[in-house]
Amino acid sequence: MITSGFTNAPVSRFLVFGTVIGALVASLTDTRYYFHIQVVPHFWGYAQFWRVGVWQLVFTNSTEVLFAVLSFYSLRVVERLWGSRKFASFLISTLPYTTLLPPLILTFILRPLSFGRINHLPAGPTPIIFALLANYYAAIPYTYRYKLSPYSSSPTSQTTSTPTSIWSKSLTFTSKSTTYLAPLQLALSQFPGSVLAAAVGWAVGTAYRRDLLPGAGSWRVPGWIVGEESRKGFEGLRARLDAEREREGGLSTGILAGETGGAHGGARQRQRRTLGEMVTEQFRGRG
Amino acid sequence: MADAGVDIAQLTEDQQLALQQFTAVTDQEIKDAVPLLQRCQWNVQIAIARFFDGEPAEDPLAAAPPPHDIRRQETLLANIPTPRSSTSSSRRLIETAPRVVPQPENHVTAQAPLILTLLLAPFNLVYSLFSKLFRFTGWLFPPLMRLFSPGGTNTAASRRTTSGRKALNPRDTAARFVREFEEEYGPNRLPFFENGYAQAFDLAKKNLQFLLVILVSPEHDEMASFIRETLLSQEVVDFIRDPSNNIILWAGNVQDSEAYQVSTSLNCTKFPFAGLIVHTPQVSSTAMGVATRIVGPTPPTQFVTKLRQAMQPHLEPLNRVRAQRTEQQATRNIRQEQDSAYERSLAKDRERARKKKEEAALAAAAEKEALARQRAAELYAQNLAQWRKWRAASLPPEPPASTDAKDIVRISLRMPNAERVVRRFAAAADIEELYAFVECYDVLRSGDDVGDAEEPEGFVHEYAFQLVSPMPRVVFDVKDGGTVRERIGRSGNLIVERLDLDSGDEEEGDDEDEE
Repeated sequence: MITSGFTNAPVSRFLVFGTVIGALVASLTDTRYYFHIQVVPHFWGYAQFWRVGVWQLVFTNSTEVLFAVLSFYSLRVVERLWGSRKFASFLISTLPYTTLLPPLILTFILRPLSFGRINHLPAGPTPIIFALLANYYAAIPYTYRYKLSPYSSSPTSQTTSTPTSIWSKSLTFTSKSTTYLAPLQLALSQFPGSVLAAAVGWAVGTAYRRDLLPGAGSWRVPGWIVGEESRKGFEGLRARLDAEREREGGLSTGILAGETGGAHGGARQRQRRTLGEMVTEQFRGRG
Repeated sequence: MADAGVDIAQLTEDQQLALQQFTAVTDQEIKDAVPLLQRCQWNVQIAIARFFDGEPAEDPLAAAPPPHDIRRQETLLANIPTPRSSTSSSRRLIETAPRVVPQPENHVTAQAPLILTLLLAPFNLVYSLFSKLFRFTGWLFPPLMRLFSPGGTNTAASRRTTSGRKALNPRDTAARFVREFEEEYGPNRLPFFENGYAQAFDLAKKNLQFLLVILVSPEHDEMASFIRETLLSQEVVDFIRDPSNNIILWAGNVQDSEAYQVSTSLNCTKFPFAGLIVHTPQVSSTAMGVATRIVGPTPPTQFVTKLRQAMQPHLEPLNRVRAQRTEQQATRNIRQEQDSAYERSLAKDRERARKKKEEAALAAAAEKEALARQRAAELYAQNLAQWRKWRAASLPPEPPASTDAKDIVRISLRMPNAERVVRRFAAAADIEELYAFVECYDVLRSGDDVGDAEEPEGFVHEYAFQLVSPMPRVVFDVKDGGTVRERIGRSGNLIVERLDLDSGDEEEGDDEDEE
């Protein structure tokens, strides 16, 4: 599951590279100021309501980009657990909620309640990260746990004497704890607004798990988006080749004749070769 | 030496030595010795043990398979790495499958720290308030709830917890998985191994079986169809259950910690996942390797085909290891046989020595007893003789015949040696006197001087006879007491009957000797 790299996690790879490239493009084209939301001048001043649609596109801050990339990278586990198709479906089906809810809540609830103090919503897909993180929290088990305590406590004294002061309490962490550090930094980086985005994201993720979002749980993106349709075709072809191989009972003929070199006889373990290798071997005169 | 048709010269030096040793110990003819030695493969110890104990019914040496050639056959042509070895050898290389042991739950107590609890208290409060409110709304407007939870089976939805699964120990986790599997997909005939992955792994290693690991991700879209159409299909179930395939089936839900770690160690990145793990003796004697991994949705026929293809190259090494193990077992049996034969002969020797010792002790005891008895008899005889002398001395003399007939009792005694003695006794005399006279008759008659004889010390005398009057038979016992006149009358005709005739013949013999 935690295999390094993006094996079988194309959507996560797209998110990671998209985050980096988007931030790069935004800073190169000098359009970063289009992405964040400030309720008073942007909405009530300039009526730039299109900002509600674009604020999630890019992070405008290099620190946030770094931590977002770390978070997406560690969250690729969720994609492997679900399959790319469901993962992509989740992102898209929750997109209306993650995109629309934070500006709406900020504009109509938080800003009036705080008398205009909380006014700013930082750019970037923080809600998406937290929606994924809620699922990561629920679906991924920890592999080990460990304790941090100010004193070294032997296991015997631990059971007999109950610690009285707060400081003798020890904190229990799991193998998953470190994964939460990067999103936490993301949530606290631009304090009130980013926390709002994170909270909404977590709520949306939890609601998805509980099947509270209408239509989101069962809807799926078309398979070609994550490249499943084409792969299925190859699987069928491969199955046919395997079946043919079975029928021939070791003797390679027909379509497989060129593929399995007949030099050592059909009984040997055959290895599949690519077309390029076959061509080069033809030229070497081994075929 | 070559007298019995067995050509000694044909034997090797070791065999000749063995033959020499064997004949030296057993003193056998060479023509008998050579076949026995041949049956024992020229092992002198076994041969000697068999010579003395008899040959066993089932010959472990014969039962042992012929030694297997453990050298691997390498053909130069077949094993030359191709120039593009960078790809082919990496593919041929067998990936190792590590053993996974999850952290025991009781190591860390699941107690939320106080600081964290305090920090999270407001969030918990808000969350519970909102969830209660939401539930209340849902209760007020049931159609709303129905609108909000479209499609999806209730069981699947209820299992989607939002706070993770409770961690259990491996055995319980496996049981929980099987239970959930049955709830979800109905009863099935899949032989799930109901214990931890490590146990299944060890079992597969020990019994040289294939371990089929199936990792289930319930939230994956293709999982249900894979399980329904592939895993539960008749073909796959039959293939897994077939005992000739030697498959242990271990399955786990990746939302459990153990299965998650297994998925990590097996480099599983795509579900549905099935991995075949097998002992790989070509890597090392303890290595387990991944024979194949089947990822993604696979039709049942292809699934079985892939498994079969992956098992094929591993059967031969496994069989080799099996043969090696049986060979080792046979060697061990032979050694055990040797040991037991040695033990048996040792026990026999010990038994023999013990018997000999016992017999010697018994003989010594008997001798001692005989000596003691003889000494006692001697002492008794001596004492008896002395007592007789003393009693003879203290016996009152015979009253003269002129005495008044009233005071005299005439008694005719018939001695054991058929002699007839007539004596007069005083009428007032105790009957014991009569007995004493009979006892001391020999002493009195011999007329020895018995004046200085003293009563022997520590000697309780008992009369070894009784006086009986015949017709009618009356026994005058000495113990009843009384005077002669009272018991017998004026005259009597008595017979001396020996009481010790059945116990000791010596005294009679002595008497007769003296006679």
